[in-house]
Amino acid sequence: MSIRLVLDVSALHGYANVDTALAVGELIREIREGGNHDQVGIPASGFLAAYTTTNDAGRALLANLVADVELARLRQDPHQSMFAILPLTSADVTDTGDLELSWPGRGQAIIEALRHDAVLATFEPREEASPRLDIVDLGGGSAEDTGWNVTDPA
Amino acid sequence: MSMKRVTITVPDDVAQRLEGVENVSAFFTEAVRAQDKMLRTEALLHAAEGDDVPQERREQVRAHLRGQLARAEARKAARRLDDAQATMRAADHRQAA
Repeated sequence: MSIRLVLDVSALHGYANVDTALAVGELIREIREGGNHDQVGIPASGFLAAYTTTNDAGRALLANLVADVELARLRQDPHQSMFAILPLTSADVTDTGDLELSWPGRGQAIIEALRHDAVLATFEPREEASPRLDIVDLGGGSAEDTGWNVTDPA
Repeated sequence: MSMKRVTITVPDDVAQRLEGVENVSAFFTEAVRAQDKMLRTEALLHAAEGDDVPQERREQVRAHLRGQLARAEARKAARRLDDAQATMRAADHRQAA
């Protein structure tokens, strides 16, 4: 499994909203064109946070992502999905919690991006993130461009 | 996983392409799976984006994201180089000691 991109909660919210899904969709296409076995990681904690705070239409879109992953699992070949659900393990729970306190919405996503040497996709980039963390700003730094309601995590 | 024998007919150009392929069954299996995965992914993305995305807007977003990804890859490459140089320096120090 080669995780090249990890979606944080703002990216998952963005995917679940027709006004902001384009940036997420195009980024996923870019990753797909990079290699047949490259995948997009969806942290379980971020998924739950997005799933429980979006509307019914958004939940249906997010549920379809999981269905695609599950189809690949049933075929006994995770690479048959473009996506991978990344479980939250006991080893990462406290680190995830600490990161959530300092930058809410992406604790597990940061850990997974660093673990896989992948890029973190977010609508809420931060300049002072870890120097080893590569971030793609889905909104181009402008909340008006994306329609995503950016909140200051500080 | 159970297997099934399938007989197919292909155009000349595809037959020529297959001449150098050692395992045609594996080749077609991989191709069909890749196509299936691409179509399923595209259906998911299309459902999220809707039908009314202007091509100009799509290209604008894609250009922005390509730039972001290229910068991320450049930072990764620079870090790998730094790490490799640090490893070499550490090895030199050990050898000197």
